[in-house]
Formats: sequence, C-alpha cells, structure tokens
Amino acid sequence: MTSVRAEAVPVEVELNLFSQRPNPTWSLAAPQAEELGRSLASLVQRPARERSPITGYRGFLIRDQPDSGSVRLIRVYGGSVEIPGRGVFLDPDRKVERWLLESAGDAVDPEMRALVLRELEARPR
Amino acid sequence: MPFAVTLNLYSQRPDPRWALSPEQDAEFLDRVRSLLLRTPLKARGVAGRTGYRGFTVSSSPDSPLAGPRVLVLDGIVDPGVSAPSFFDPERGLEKWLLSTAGEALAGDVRAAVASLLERPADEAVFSFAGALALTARAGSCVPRAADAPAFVPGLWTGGDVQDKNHCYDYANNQQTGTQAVPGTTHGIQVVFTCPSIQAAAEADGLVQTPDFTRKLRSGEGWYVALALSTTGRFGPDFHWYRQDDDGCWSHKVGGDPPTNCDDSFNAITNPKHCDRGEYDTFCCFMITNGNVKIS
Repeated sequence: MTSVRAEAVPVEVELNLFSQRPNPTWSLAAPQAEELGRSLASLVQRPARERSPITGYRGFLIRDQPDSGSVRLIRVYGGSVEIPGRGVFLDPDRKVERWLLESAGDAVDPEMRALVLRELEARPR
Repeated sequence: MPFAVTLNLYSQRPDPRWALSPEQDAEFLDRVRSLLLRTPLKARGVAGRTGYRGFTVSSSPDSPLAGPRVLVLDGIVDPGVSAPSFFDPERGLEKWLLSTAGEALAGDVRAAVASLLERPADEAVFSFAGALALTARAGSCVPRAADAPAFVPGLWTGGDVQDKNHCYDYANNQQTGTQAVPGTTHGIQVVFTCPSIQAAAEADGLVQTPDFTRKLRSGEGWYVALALSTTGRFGPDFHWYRQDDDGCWSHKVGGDPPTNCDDSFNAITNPKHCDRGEYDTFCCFMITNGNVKIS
C-alpha cells in the first residue's frame, strides 16, 4: 500500500470558494497538524483525482513545509487528496474534507459551513 | 485461454494484464451477449485522458484465434470501428473484469479502480463528452484583438505566480503578485455591485464597451468581461474573463490555474452566455491594455 507519512507543522488550510474575495484561511494547531498527518498517512493511492468544478466550492488547499523545505500545496476535493510528488490518494466518504471543515473554527461562519457541508453530502460536481 | 485482459492505467509503467480461465472466457462472452442497449458512442475516444482508461479484452498471444479486441470503458462496450457499441449502464462488465484480476492487481489499485466504477456510466460518459466539446467547438471563436494574449496556462500555474495572481491580474495579463482588485491603485474601494466595480476598473484605465464585435488593432488592447455573484451560495464575489488571441475566452478563478472552460466544461465563445457557475450576473464587457495600472 502506498502511503503518506505524517508531516510537521506549520500547516495552513484554505477553503477554496471565491475568485476575487479572499478565501477563508486558518492555521492548524500542532496536535491538529499531527492528526491530519496521520490521516493522510492512512490513505491509499488512486489512479486519478476527481475533477473540481470551475467556480464555487473547489475543495481545500493545505500548505505545509515538510522537513522545513519549500511550501507544498496539497489539494483535497471530492474524495481525492493530491500530494505533489507522491500522487493522488482516495479519501473515502470525503473524511479528510469533513475534518478540514471542522478544523476551521471561527474562520468559517456557520452559514458558510452549512453550505459547504451540503456540498460534501452531494456527489462531486 | 483465448482471452487476455489489460487494465489501462499507466503511461510509463506496464499496465496490469492477465488471462481469463476457460470458465471466465465463457462468462465474458455470455455477459457481452446479454447486453441489449446499443450506442453510437465509441470508447476509444479517450485522448487526453489519464489514469483509469478502461479494460481491453483481446485474444491472448497463445490463442490460435485471431479474435476480437474489445475496449470497455464508462459503460461503453466497444468492439472496434467495424461494429456498433453496447451500453452497460450499471458498468457490470467493468466490475466483473476487475474481479477476474486475481493476483495481477494490488489491493489498493483494485480498490481505487472499484471506487471509480461506482460512478454511473451515463455520468462518466457525460463528463467525457464535455471534455471533447472543447475540441469540437474550437473553430467557433472569432479573434477580435491584435494585442490579445495567448492562452498559456503554464505561465500562470505553480507556486506564487498561481497563488498571488487572481482573475483581475489574469484578465489584464499582468502578474502583479498582489491579487489585484479594481481601483486599489487609485484609492477606490469597491462594493459588490456592477457599477461600483466598473467605475473602479475605469479608474485603472479600462474602457467600457457594449460588446466585443469591433476588431481592435495593435495598440488598442483586448476585451475582458466582468461578472458578479449576487445570489451565489457562498456570498458576494466578482470575476473577470479575458478574450485570448484565438478568440475564445479564458479566466483564472482565485488561486486556481487558468482555464478556458466554463462551468459546464465547454469552450467559452461568449462569457455573457456561457455557464458562469456562481457568477450569475453578467455586468459588462470592457477593453483593457498593457498600460492599465492595477494592484
């Protein structure tokens, strides 16, 4: 099984929604970053990622700096997790997406959270 | 063992391949014979597609039969150019072929393909047809501006260039790295209405125009278009498109890579009438040029 090993902090998450307006972004606390790393490490590889829509909810972007190197951008959408240089991984039941939304805290207001949750319940567009 | 199965997955690596047992050979033929729905679609048209690209069933090398070669993808069972295809809406044949792989397939690859096969065939075919539409409609765009930039996604993709240049930067073909907003250079703060954003863009040097029918000569700039999300599900926002040198339109949504597709994954011949997704209100066409000041 191909896997992703846990990575160190800092980790920033962006909810990819808008074009002109700034997207909601937040940082993960160290325990959250470790939990995310464990979660990513348990995923299995898949052959191709789910194509995200052009506008509207387009998933989450995770920026981290593995081994304190250059910033890496991980894309999470529609049951797929795309990790540069490692491949595309299956996110069954969109658990990683749900977890990331939960981690937003006050960065995402309740109304927007409900709308994104509705997107997560639907089949990827 | 007349039949061999290839699971088309890779580019560089060899694809997984296995032989069917005599019992499986018979079951394969029975399953194909039981398909009743015919379709004019051919499964071979998968140009540009990567990842899972279906199963090829052919005569195995040690078979005395110069038999058929069948491609099974997205519920289309395609026996080749000389015969019509059959449609398998539940993708039962693909699922069955996957189950015959045995040790030829690692468990995680099998699980990944199995999850893709859960997507209904009509939906998978629709997405594929949408992607093809780009090619089919390429001739319907009419170039209008000598100065229009070329659609080169690679110039705007990756790292800070992609992250820090959004739709207004892209429409004006300027990599400011500031996520430019209309009017900022001139101390104007926009609100989310068409007149407010139009006025701010005019302060930057853009000029309103009723449409994009007039040919623009060298030095006259190129066409851009503004749309607004007023009833968008996630709150107000606005968005810019630009006309490229091939006459089709492209755009860059936030920190995503640029695209020349609308929300239905069709080529954009006119942003006023394309599927703009969240950006439901079309505001106006404008003309920009290389001298406008944005930040």
